[in-house]
Amino acid sequence: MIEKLNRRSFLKATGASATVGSAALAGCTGDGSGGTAETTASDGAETDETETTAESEELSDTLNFYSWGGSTQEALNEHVIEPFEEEYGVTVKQSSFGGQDKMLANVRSSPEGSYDVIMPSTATSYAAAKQGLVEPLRLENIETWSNLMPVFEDFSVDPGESTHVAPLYYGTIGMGYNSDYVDDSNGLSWDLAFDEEFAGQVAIEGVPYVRVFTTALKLGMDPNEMVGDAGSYEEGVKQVYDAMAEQHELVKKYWTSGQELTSLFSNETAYVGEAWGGRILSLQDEGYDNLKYGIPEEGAYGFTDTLAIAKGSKNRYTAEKFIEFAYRDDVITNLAPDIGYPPATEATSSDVEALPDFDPSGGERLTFQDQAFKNEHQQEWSRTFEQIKLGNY
Amino acid sequence: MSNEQESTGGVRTSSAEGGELRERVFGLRTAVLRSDAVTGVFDRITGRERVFASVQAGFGLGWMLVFLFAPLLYIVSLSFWQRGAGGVVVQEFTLANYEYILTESVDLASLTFKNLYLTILFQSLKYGVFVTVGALLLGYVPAYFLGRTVTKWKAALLLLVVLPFWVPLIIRYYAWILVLGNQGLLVSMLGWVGIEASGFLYTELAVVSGLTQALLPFMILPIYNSVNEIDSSLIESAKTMGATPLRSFYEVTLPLTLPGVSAGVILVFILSVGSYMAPALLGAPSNTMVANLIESTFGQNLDWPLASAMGVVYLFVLFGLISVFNRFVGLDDVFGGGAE
Repeated sequence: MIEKLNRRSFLKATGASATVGSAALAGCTGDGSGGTAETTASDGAETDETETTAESEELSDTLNFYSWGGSTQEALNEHVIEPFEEEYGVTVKQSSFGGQDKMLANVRSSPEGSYDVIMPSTATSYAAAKQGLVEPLRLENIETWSNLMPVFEDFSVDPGESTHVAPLYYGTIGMGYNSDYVDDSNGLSWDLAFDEEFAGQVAIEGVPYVRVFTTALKLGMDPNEMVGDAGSYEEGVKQVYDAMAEQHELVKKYWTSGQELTSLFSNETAYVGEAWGGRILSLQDEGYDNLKYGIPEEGAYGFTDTLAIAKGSKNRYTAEKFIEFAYRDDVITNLAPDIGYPPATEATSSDVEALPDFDPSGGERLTFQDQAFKNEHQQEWSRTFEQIKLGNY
Repeated sequence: MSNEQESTGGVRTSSAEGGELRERVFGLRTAVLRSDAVTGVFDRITGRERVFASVQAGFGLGWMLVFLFAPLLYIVSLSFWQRGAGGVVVQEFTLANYEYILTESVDLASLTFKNLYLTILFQSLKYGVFVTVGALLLGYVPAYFLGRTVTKWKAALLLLVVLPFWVPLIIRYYAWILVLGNQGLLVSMLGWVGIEASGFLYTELAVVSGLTQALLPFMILPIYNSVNEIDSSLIESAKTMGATPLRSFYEVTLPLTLPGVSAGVILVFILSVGSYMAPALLGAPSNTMVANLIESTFGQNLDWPLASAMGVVYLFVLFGLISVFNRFVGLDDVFGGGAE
């Protein structure tokens, strides 16, 4: 077996100590000698950097990656993780989550260093940064950072001066519908999901902050102010609640997972409602040609899934290289069609442009929730949503 | 991939020369275990029953202390703290969480009661009662049959009761979705006999029936156990003295199976009231139960202190209910009280 001269073994071979080179040539991963070599190297580089930085500025043997499960994980595996392992000689250890809540709780309660790269969404990146669960990104280590769409460069979801998350792809929570029952010839509007005709056949996402956001869009308000014609936030949000209570009468199910939404639409329990574009796309691939997805004229809740580095990561430099790798045009354009969402970088291809969420204006049309605004009002939105669900509102 | 192959290769080469090493390690271990110091300790422990017993009990208690009471203590202390921006826990004492849980949307002047937590808690207890009654009605007969029957198939029949435990709970609920859904088994079966139906999913009935089918074994097994222990000569003598089968059931069998019934009732009630997955997967929007509320407070809202307070109140309510139940039924009989 011939050891491929990859970037990792190259870096190791050119390292300060001879043991490093021999270790790399022997193809050895993760034993004691590698560790000793790294400390030797860092001692040598102590001059201009602090010790900790210098120590981590070398590729590690392994990288712990905590990502969405299911088809997202499969796509990441094929297009990012395996090529990265091959090129850098790093073993990526994977674990997966099914929901952001669980991910956040798990990172928060695990010892520091349990995870290196995690995947917060727009909605949780604010909390992740506020709770100190993620390290700031050292952008100088991510050479491909400039590929990112300008709209994500000063991203409202990231509090403070430094950058904590690297958006990987974006999408919307737009309208999912069954074209056998829903007439889309006049274009799409959220009014369809408020139409008495579909009583008991509406399925929408059961997350309070998405509910108020979409409902505000439907009412023609700025979802990040919720004032509209009402004159004040208090009056505006009351209009939103009233509309939510009105829609509640038509709702069959508030779904909370991708699995749930796919089964609701595919077995025709729901005809119209909210959906994630990527999931509808995969249903179409399975032959459900009557299931459609689109962004209504009023707009839709925008989200991104990001890569971030977990607090206390022992492999911070490798994690940054992982992000750099994922941002490469060839990598991300292969990944995006398989994941079902367009990339957050400016890279594009015919497959990318065919994706339901693709925004030809380069992200200018996307509406994201202001996380500080959300943080301020979230508790009250949730309480009211629960009351609406119980029929108490 | 290549790393994996290399590492297995590494194990293979080491195993060739490992035989000798393993023998030496084994010899060393035997020597240590047989040394006077070690055997002496064991002798001393087993020699004194009291020490032995307290070591055993100590292990169990230690386990409880570390994995049950310590987390519980943390939850209790969390419940007196506050939520900060982005879900940060602010360690400043407050009673606001409890106050909110118990008094929100309660207006004594106009007698309106729309308190979120208590409404949902009451709903959970209500479902718990429905499920318990359902499981008792459905479970008693099979348990009685299993306990009284004399057949070589008994082991196989008992296996059928336990079999669902081999399937993860979430899969059993998904199976129930396939049964109740609008293109499900039940709808097709009703269609064969000419009844039109549009599915039974996302209703209160779906939650209660799903929980009942999932928890039925917890009712059957304890009842089976107490039926099995009945001395059949008692029933025979009742009958020889002229009691009808019905009367001998009421006066002999039923009272003797009460401990099993109470154990089953307690288990099914506690498990169903605390259910999270059944209302989430099978229920209508209004069928929220207390675990779902705690989860969304903890997860979506990142309000750990409030969620903890909700958990603590729930624990107290459940504990109170079981104490009341204990007054009437006497759980000491069920679980073998230490006082006797």
